[in-house]
Formats: sequence, structure tokens, C-alpha cells
Amino acid sequence: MKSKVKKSSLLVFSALTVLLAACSGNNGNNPATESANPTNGNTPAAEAPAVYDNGLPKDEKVTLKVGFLEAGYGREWFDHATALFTERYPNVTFDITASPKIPDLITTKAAAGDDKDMFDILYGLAYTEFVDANKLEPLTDIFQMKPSDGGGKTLDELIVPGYNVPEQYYKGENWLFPIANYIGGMFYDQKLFEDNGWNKSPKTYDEFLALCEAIMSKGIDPIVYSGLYNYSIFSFDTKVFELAIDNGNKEFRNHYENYSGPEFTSAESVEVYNRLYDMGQKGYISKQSVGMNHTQSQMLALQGKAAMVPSGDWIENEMKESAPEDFEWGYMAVPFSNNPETPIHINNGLSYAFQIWANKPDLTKQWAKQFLVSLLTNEVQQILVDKGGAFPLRSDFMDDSARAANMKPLQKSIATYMSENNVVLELKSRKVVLNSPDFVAANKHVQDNTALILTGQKEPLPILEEGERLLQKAVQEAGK
Amino acid sequence: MKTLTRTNIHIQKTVFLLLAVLPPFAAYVLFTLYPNVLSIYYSFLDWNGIGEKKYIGLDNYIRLFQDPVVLNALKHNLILVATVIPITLIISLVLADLLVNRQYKENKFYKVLFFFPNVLSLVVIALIWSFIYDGTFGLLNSVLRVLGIGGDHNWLGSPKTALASTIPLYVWCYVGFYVVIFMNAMSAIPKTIYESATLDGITSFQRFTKITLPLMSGIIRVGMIFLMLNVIKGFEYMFIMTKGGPGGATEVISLYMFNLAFGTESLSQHFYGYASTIGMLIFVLLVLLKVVIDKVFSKDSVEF
Amino acid sequence: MTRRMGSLVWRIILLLWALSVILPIIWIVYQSFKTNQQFFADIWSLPSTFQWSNYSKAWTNLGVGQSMLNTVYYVGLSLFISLTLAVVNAYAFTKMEWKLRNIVWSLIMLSLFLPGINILVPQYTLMRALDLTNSLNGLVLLASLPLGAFELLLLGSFMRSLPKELEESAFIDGATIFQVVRKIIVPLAMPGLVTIGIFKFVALYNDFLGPFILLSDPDKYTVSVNMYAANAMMEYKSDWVTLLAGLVITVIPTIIVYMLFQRKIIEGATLGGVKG
Repeated sequence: MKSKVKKSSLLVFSALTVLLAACSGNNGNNPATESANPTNGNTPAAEAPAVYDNGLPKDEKVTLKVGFLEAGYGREWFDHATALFTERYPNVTFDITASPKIPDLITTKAAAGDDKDMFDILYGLAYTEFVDANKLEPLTDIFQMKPSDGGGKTLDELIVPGYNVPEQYYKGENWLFPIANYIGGMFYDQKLFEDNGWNKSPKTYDEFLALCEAIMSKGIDPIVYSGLYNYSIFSFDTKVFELAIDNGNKEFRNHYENYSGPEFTSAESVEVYNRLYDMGQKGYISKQSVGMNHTQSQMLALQGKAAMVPSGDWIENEMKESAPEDFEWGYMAVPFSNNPETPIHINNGLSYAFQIWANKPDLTKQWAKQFLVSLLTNEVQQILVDKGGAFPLRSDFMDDSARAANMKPLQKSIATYMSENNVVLELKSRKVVLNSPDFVAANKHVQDNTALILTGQKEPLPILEEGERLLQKAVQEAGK
Repeated sequence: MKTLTRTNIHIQKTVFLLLAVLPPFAAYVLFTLYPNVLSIYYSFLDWNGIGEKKYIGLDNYIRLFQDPVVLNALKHNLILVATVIPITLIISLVLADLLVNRQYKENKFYKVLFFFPNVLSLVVIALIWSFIYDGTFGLLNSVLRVLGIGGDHNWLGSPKTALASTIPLYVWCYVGFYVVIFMNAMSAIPKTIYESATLDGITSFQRFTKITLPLMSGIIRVGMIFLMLNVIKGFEYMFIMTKGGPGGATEVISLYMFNLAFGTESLSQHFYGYASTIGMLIFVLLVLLKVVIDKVFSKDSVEF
Repeated sequence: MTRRMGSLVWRIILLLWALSVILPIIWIVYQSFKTNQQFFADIWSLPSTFQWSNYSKAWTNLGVGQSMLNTVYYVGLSLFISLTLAVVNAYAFTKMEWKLRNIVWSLIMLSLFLPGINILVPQYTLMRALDLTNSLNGLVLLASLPLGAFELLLLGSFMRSLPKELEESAFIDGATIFQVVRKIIVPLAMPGLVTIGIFKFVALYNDFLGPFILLSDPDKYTVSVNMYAANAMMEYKSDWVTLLAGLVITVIPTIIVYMLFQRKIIEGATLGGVKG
């Protein structure tokens, strides 16, 4: 055991030399902070032992095939992360297939059924289907691994709470490795709000309505959103939980997690849709939202033609090519309760995750896990935050004041909003996963009509009832 | 001069057929027919394209006949077939005739220009038309405002006008294609036929209806069938511009099938089996429509 | 007088249609010179300064140069093989008598009616088994070897209308079938061949889903796959002007090819006219 430690520290040193030789010194803080003992390290590499300190062989070459979704966060951070990893472990190289349409490729490869041809690490999608088919490697143990810069803490201790909750595991395991989460809500032009003296942080539903009224009186559409992609969910999906608290409905979350009560026609859901319908009828939600994609709708907010747009925190990065230099995005969540004691539930969730394919050589999978852990070092997180505009997942990321100060205006605005308001980050997790054509039909029916409800063109109740009927069929089927 | 014996010709013919027909036909069977036959098999499965394939007999077919989305989508497909096909054919025949049989000096330029929509990617065509129909700054609304009639309607965003708004888009794209087909077919009609007719003192309208159209009925029928196939199989514009919305107003059958097989942004579940069943429905529908078109044009000699 | 009037009406109709085609194109071209802010601020305004940088950005970001080379290779080779096959097969199906002809013909025509969305996966599996994925040659084979119903149908109907006398006399002179096809049928069928050539070209040039799934290496992407990906990126970005610049670049070769083809059609037509 002792000799093993020695051997590995020697190895870290040689890896370090490689790393230092390879990089031209532009990486300020070195990620390798393990118990490297430099006094041992004068021997040449020929005597180097065959394993790294993580127990994996040094001389066996491994190529990790990655199916990477090139999306709002870009790929710069990932190229950087893989380069860092190869510098540190020269026997590990990467074969990256990056595309904004990677899901098409993944599902085709999955359906073709050739495990060898599949990526080792792939963008996380449809994971319950993959898990049901025994195609994914459980990642629960990754959360017990220690990132190199974590001061000996496990990933589980270092990650923002909510991403490794055993009660929310699917089939007893965690299958997704989180890369970034999103904060949903209303996004607006700081300057427009300041110039008009509008309330940037309404505490109650009535205050929010008053804000909409104030905006309307200036001849500006209070809210526009992407009806084509149903982006209203980012602001309003979590409002049922606020109403449930107001109603004293203690069973609501339990029903929500297990589909054991009415879903679309619960008192809370009906109330949310009625209020939205009402807002639509009053003209608070622009009718132009219906056929709009999200860049179009966000563009209207950029131009001051609409005041607020429901979206996620990626909005700043997404719109950077079109935003004027001095434009500053602001953030608020929508309160749906009139009781200031009821916390505002902010829509929050995974916006980017990886999964590991199960039927792969053990060594490949072990390296894949090592690599994923390396993505949650603060060094990689920093690039993801800077270049990708993501919100950091490491809870100690902000401890460094320089890093916190470096955040973008929108990220700061979100942080400020959260600290000044009584908020809850709502992940909307469920314990039961429904997977049937009826379930899809139910959601399709409601989603297809959402834009018409929100713009006050269609009454919600009949649509919710039809959605509920289809959903209960799916629930019954699942119960069999 | 050689004389070819009967066997000699026979051998030559066999060699020709083996070389010319066999390899591409084998490739056709392998790459086109076989995958399609597989989807007949898929249509009896509960399969998400990932996990185990579960045989469920006729369940998918029963679902198909009870699925209101299917009915809604088919209705829209039929509306499109009934409008897009005749409008496209009439416009392209007239334009082709004008280009081929009239000697306007600008024709040379038009011959290239009219084909243009075909080389633009679908995405860009969708983009252009989205801007035409846009509710705030759209071209159509700008024009209407100038004329003083309305001008604030969200064309693709209203259930009443969304489907109808896609018709001009289809016509605009397809006309260029069929103008070229018809132009080339018209060019192949021997000039002597027209010349003798002109001597008989026939008007150009009569020339068009009495000579050109009958001579081209074969190609027109082919064009009709292809348009029908395109309109029913195609879903790209809806996919980009409306996602079948609002409220299902532009849902078409192939879009529904595609979304079931590949998932959508918000619901990433896959139903390969059921999607294949819808594929079977589309197949039957296409064959039926083809038979109808054949019945209408029964006099023609072109077989297929 | 009325004839003049009529002529004027027709010319106006032609002009209107031409405008409906050309205006969007001009629109695209001038939008491609704007900044994104100008583009969204007022899509009908003229660009204040010309943003040539959109073009350089499109060229590098979309990998237009490499993808054009790939496209030329893929489209050129596929077009050559499939047109050759189309001619000999159209001849075999319309001018020759053989036993299984009608069955094979209807089997091929069947493909017109198949919805084709579900065949992506089995096709991928097959191509994978034959080790033809991630290869432009594999793509060429898939695009050109299987008999296409559309080509056969169009060229077949064209060949049926050709007079029999010429080939018959050639056979009497002792020509082989190959010689007859090459020396007599191909020149006669030129307008038909050019027509299907154009369609095949457009189909090949615009096809993106199949090539995207079969080519995982972006260095092998064709123009349309690139544009498909670039457009998909627009879900995460708002850089429309670069996309439009990329489009303008990629459309130019298609136009040139089409113009060359179009001249051939006219030549072929006069040729047919003389013979007829």
C-alpha cells in the first residue's frame, strides 16, 4: 500500500513535468494538487510505474469517443477541458463529434444497436429510455470521487445541492453527470426598467400585475415569449408549487412526484392557467408570441418592443451577437402568491449533462469517469462560466472573490435577485417516469394549445381536461 | 457487315441486363426496399428505438384509428393536396408555355431565375416566409398597412390563417421545379406540329389547350403524382415555421410521424413502432391518391 | 392590337413571378451585409455599411471551403454514376423485352409511396456493417447505386416517345446494345437526361439528414449538412447575418451548374427539333 502511494506520487510528478512542458505557462493555477512529493521525482520516466495515482494504467492508450452537443455554451470550454486532461494523462485522447444535432446521431446509433460504434461519453438525453434498456453506466459512484482541487472533499460535497439526491434517483442510481444548470425566469432590459422606474423585483402577484399594467400604459408589450418552443414554462412551470403552499395543500408535491393526483386539472394547475389566460386577455402577454421562436422573442426584448421575456440564464450568451454593446440583461422571477411568506419558486434544472454508455471496456469507462470529474474542477468551471455563460455547479466557485467579481452582468443580477428575495430553486423532479404514447399525447395536447391560452385566445379548462383524460390513461397503463 | 444470330443477340441482351439492371436493382432492394419492409415489422412493435422490441400485435393500428391528432393532420394534408397541386400545376404550365413558345427577350433570364427557389435551402425559404408573415414587421402586414386594410395580423400565429398561409409558400417553392420539367417537355415537342397549326390560323390559347396540353398529359400526370407525394411526405416547413401549431392548426401527418420517431424539444420520448404504423398509413394513403389520379387520367399510356 | 395587349399582360405576369422570386433573393443578399442588430431592428432597411466580415466569418466558421470541395466530389461522382445507370436502365425498362421486367418495374415504383422517414436507422445499420459510414465514397454509393424511381419514370416516359427507326437501323448495321445506347439513345434523350440531371443535382445538393447521420466527421460534411448544422445553431445563437452570408456563398455554385445544364437543354432541344 505504501509503495503504491510512492509510485503514484512519482507518476503525478512525471505527469506534471509533461504538463509543464506541454503548456506554455498560461495556466496560472495548476490543477494537480494531489500529494505530489517533488523530492521523489528526480528519476527519469523510464522507471516510472505503470499506474497513475487514480489506479489506472499509464501505458494503455485510451481514446474516449464523445458525442457532444454544440449548443448555447459553445464548445470552447470542452476543448479546453479535454486538452487539460490529455496533458495530465497523455495516454488518454479524445475523439469528439460535436454538433447541434447530436441527438439525431445518438438515437440513430442507439437504434442501430452497435455498442462499439456508440460514443463512450454522450450528451445526456432520454436517459430513462436508455436506462430501461440497460444501456447506461450508473454514475452514482462518481459523486464519491474527489475533484483534484476540492481539498479532499467528494464531488457530492462540492456540487450545488440538488443534483445528487438519492430520493430522486431513477431505478436506484444516478445516471446523469451534470455540467450546467439553468435558472429560468423573466429577463429584461435593466436600462429600460430604470428609465421608467419599473419594479425590478415584485414581491407578490399583485405587484407583478401592477408592473405589467405600468408597462402596458407606456405602450410596450409587458411579456413576449417563444410560443413555438413553449418557453413560457421557464417562468410559470413552477408556480403550482407556490399556489399549493398558499392553499395548504400538503399532498401536492407527493401527487406531483408520483402522478397520484390530478395533474393538469388540480386546483393549482387550473388556477395557474386561468391567471395566464387572464393575463393574455388583458394584453400582458403579446399575441405575437404564438408563432415565435426564442431568438425572435428575445430580440423584441433587446429592442425594447417588449419588456420581459421568459427564458433561461443562457439568454445573454445566446443573444450576444445581436445585443448592443452597453445592453444589460436583468433577471426576476414571477411571484404567484400574494403572501410574501411564500417563497418564489424559481424554475431550475439541468441544462447540460453527460452520460456514459454501459457496454464499453471497463478501462474506457473508468477513464470516462475520471474525465467527467475533472470537468467539475473550478478551472474548467471558470471557462464554462466565462466562455459559455453557464452558471457554476461548484458550490465553492463563488468563494473566490475574484471569480465572483468576474461574473457577467446577468449572472450578477441573478445572484442579487436570489439573495434579496425569498426564493426556492425548484427542480420539479418526479419519482415516477411515464413513457407511453398517451403520456406524450396528453402533454402534446396541452403544449400545442398553451400559446393560445396564454394569449387569451382559448379557454384553458377544456384543454386541461382533455390533457388530464389522456394523462390518466397513461397512468393507468403504467399501473398495469 | 456482321450478321447477328438469334443466340448472339440473346447473349448480348442477357449481358446487358446483368450489367445494367442487376447491380443497381440489388442495391435498391438492399438500401431502399429492405429498410422499408423492416418498418412494416416495426409497425407491430412497442419499440422506442433504444430498448427491447416488444410485439404488440395490432395495438398500434388500433391506436392509429382512435388518434385525434392523426385525423386532424390528415385533414390538413388533404386541404394542402387540394389547393397546392392545382395552383402549382396551372401556374407552372402557363409560365412554361410563356417561356418556351413566346420569344420575349427577357425569357432567357427568367429561365434561370424561376428555378432559383430550388437551390435555396429549406431553412432559408422558411426564414424568408416567416418574415413575410411576421405579425409586427412582416412584409405582408407592411403592404396591408399601406393599402389601409388591417396590417396587424399574426398570420402564422393564428389558428384561422396558419394553414392557409403555408399554401403560397408551397406553391412558390414547387412552381420553379415544375416550370423546368414542363419547359423541357415542351421543348421536346417538334416545332413542325406548331408550325402547321399556326398555318391553320389557330390562336395561341387554342394552341396551348389543343396541342400542348394533350401532348403533355403524361408529364402533367407525373407532375401531379410527384406533387402529391411531396405535399404528403413533406413536413419541413411546418417543422421549422410552426411546429404544427398553433393549437395543431398546421399539424401534418409526416410531421407527427417524425416527431414520434425522433422526439421533440420538450418531449424527448421516442415511439419507433407507432411512427412506423403511421408510415404504413401514409403509404396506403399515397397509393390510394395515386389510384385516384390514374382514374382521372385513365386515357394515358404511361404505365407505372 | 388585342394581341399586343395580350402580350403585355403575359409579360407582366412573367415579370410579377420573376419579382416574387428575385425580391427574396435580393433581400437575402442585402441582409447578409448587415450587422445582426440592423437585421433585427428593421429588416427592410438598407445596410448602413457593408459587413464583409459576415462573409469571412461564414467562410471560416461554416467550413465552407472544405465542404464545397466535399460537395463537388459527392455530387459530381453521384451524378455521373446515377445518370449513367438511369440511361441504361430506362432503356432496359422501356425499349427491351424481358421476363421479370414488369415485376421489377413495379417493385421500384413502390419506393415512391414509402414514407421513408423510418429507413434512416436500417440504412445506417447496413452502411455500418459494410464499413461505409463516415466516408464520402459510401455516401456516393448510397446516393447513386440504388435505382431511383423518379429518374426511371421521367427518363422512361421520355424514351418511349423516341422514334424506333434509328436504333432499329443501327441494330441492322450490327451495332451492339451498348453502342446503340451510347451513340443513339443518349444524344436523343439529352433533354430528358438533363432534366433528371437537374433534379438529381438539386436533391443531392440539398440532402442533409442522411449525409449528416452517415458522416460523423465535420471535415467530410457537405454544404447542406453544414447549413443544416449552422441553422440548428441558430437555436442557441442569434447570428443570422452570418448564416445568410453562408447561404449566398453556397448558392453561387448551384446557379452556375444550373446555367450550364440549362444551355445543354436548349442545345438538346434544338437537336431533337432537327431530328424530329
